[in-house]
Amino acid sequence: MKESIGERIFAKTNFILLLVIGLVSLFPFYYVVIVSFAHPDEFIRSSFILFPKKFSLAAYQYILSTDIFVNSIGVSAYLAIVGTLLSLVVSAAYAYMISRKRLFGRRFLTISLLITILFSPGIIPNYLLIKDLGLINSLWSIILPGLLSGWNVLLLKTFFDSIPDSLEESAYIDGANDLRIFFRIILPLSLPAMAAFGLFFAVGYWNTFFNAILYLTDYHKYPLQVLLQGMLLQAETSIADPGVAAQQASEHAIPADTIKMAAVVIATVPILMVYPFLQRHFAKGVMLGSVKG
Amino acid sequence: MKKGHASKVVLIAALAVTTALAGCSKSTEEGNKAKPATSAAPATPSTPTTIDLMTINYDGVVPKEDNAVLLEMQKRTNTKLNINFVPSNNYGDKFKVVLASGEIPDVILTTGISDSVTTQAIRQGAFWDLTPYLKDYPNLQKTYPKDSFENTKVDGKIYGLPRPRPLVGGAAFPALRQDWLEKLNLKMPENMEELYTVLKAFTEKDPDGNGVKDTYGLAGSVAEGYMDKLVWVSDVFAGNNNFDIFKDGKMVWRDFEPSEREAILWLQRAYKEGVLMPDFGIMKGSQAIDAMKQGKVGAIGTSMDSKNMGEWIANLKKMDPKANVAHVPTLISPATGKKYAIKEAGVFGNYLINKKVPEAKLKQILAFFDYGATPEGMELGNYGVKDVHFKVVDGVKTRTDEWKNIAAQPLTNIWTLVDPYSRIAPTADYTSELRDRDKKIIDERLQYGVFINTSGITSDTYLKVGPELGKKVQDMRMKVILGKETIEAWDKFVDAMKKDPTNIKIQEEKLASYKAIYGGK
Repeated sequence: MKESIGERIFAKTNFILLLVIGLVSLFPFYYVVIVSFAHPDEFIRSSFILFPKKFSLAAYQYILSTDIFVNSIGVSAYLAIVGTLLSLVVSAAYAYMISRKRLFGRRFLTISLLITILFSPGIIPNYLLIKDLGLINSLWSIILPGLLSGWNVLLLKTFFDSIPDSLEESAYIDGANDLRIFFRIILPLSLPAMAAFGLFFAVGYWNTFFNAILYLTDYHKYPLQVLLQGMLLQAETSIADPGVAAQQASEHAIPADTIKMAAVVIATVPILMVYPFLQRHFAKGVMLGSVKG
Repeated sequence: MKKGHASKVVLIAALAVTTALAGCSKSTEEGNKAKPATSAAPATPSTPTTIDLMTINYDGVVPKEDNAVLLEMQKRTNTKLNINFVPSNNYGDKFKVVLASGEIPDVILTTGISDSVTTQAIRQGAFWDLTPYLKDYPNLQKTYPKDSFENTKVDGKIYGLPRPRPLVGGAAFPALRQDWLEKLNLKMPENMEELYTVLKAFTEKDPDGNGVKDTYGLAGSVAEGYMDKLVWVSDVFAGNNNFDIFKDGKMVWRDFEPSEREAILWLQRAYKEGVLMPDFGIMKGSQAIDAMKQGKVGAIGTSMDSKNMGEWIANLKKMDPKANVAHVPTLISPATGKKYAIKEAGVFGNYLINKKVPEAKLKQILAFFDYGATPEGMELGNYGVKDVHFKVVDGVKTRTDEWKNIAAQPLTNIWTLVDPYSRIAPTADYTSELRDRDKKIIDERLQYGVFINTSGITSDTYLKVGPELGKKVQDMRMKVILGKETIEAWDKFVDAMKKDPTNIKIQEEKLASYKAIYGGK
């Protein structure tokens, strides 16, 4: 079909407009990367840089210079992998459980889950609990409290609801028990959802910050975010305590903004790299419940 | 944590502390029984004393166990330190949960001893009263400023070893272009009238010599409900820097005092005559500083630290090699008729000692801090070992790369460096000559500075309506300064506010709170 001139103009305008909007929304990301590589002198002189004349790795060097950097990346990776796997298994198991109508006490289990969504005890009871469990200064204090998230379990349950009961029945007739049905039939069928939720969990564990500060005392166990925040603080020098600011003034020459951007890049890139691999499932996974069958 | 939870958390914390303490008073007795009291002089046992300590950390890194400075600190005091460095941003939260959990380390730093959570724990007996012991530790008494102890007393007793800070230099007081002053043959102003003359000359007599009238006398900025970078004007007129003043047995809001009226009139005139930058009402604090850096303005209210001063001077020198910035030492306060400069509490936090610690160990802990207050101790704790971690250049201690390599910076929070001049350590742009000049200003401010301690005073009603009230006052004040309302309108407003029942209630609550914290004097 031939397009009229008006239609062609409309399409072109649309294209250009969307291109501009697209570029504008990409710009902040570009800016973060560029500033993180900008040479300190250049950045101090002109606070806005579109393209640096001189590249420098000073900010990265500054962050990487800490000897516990590798250590804390390891901690974060450990938390993200172990935490995600455990979270997935536990959440899926719970969700599957409450999605099966034949389960005794299903209502009670669902309501207990809902309560955790609506009410949160606050930090001091949480701290006391972790302390009494003897988990202070253990990485389990980060993993265990976040293992089961009510909201995610409910979403997963909706997904499991869409798996027909008859599938399960035929497996049962063929001699499979409940565990076997869960691991051999249900889990493989729900891979898209698991991938999507895995990503949620992984991002959550990777970004762990506050709990780590509360529960961990040994700095060898600090995850990446705690370390990065500390480096930033040092760069910005504390407003709350000007005495310290003056003491530190002469001791580093890299502008705080450059370090901030480098920290953003370091904190984001590893988790960003996981995205493309899960992208395929991701679209399918989060669409769950959007089509009525 | 969500904001709404804060009050609940405090409540729970209080409950938790109470329960924890019920258990701990017993164990203290047992601890005392088990270890017979040693002689008053701090004994030096052969085995090192283990001290668990929680402190704040402003740095990303944490010193390692084999840190040379830390090892030396332990060797000299015969201690074994288990230090928990908590990142500064979340120190308050961590402090509260640790307090609530009841498992308080031997020594813990509080950043606000008059915080309700801390005060409550102290009153319930969670920490040692250090008052009777301090006399045995001469260095602590000699080195730490008296004000630092005085300003952090709770119920008249000393519970926390202060982490001293310089008494002057951290709060805003005007700094001006010294080179402009010299160029126009003016002398350093001594009162608000002279200061005004100088600022007016900066505006009108083309101090930058470019033939265009493009300079202003004073830069400032305001915030919602607060005079931000111009608040020093009110401070000088009132002769103190407190918003709540205890006067004639009552608490009064400084904004409703006659001194504030004078301050408003001064600013009104400055605005009308173009001395004050006209867009100060919409500027951010950082923009006001930028104007100063770019040489558009002759004066600004600012803290006195080498970092800022160095940056400004370096920037200004690019345009005018003679450029220089100097702080106004003191100004005569119209309210008191005396020289006035702003002074601070001289403290940023206190080390509290857990009551569960037996008395003998308490003495060892105090001895540990006492050594840290000696010149050798302070040097070690803040600069490390000479020629390894620091070098002396032109009589100023400069830290070496080795200091950075071993990440010793966080240790400086333990044996605090007590030095009224620590804010003006020379940097590349802030030379030793400038430091010598500014040392005199600090000395003068120390002599005439005024600080009235009212920290920790609260009012429940104020917490609820305070921001709104403050905004109302600020709106009115701004209208008068900008000439949209007359000063008579301000007088009427103040009269109405003084009779306002909410305001009266706030002042009553604040008075009760003041009496509870500082007694009825």
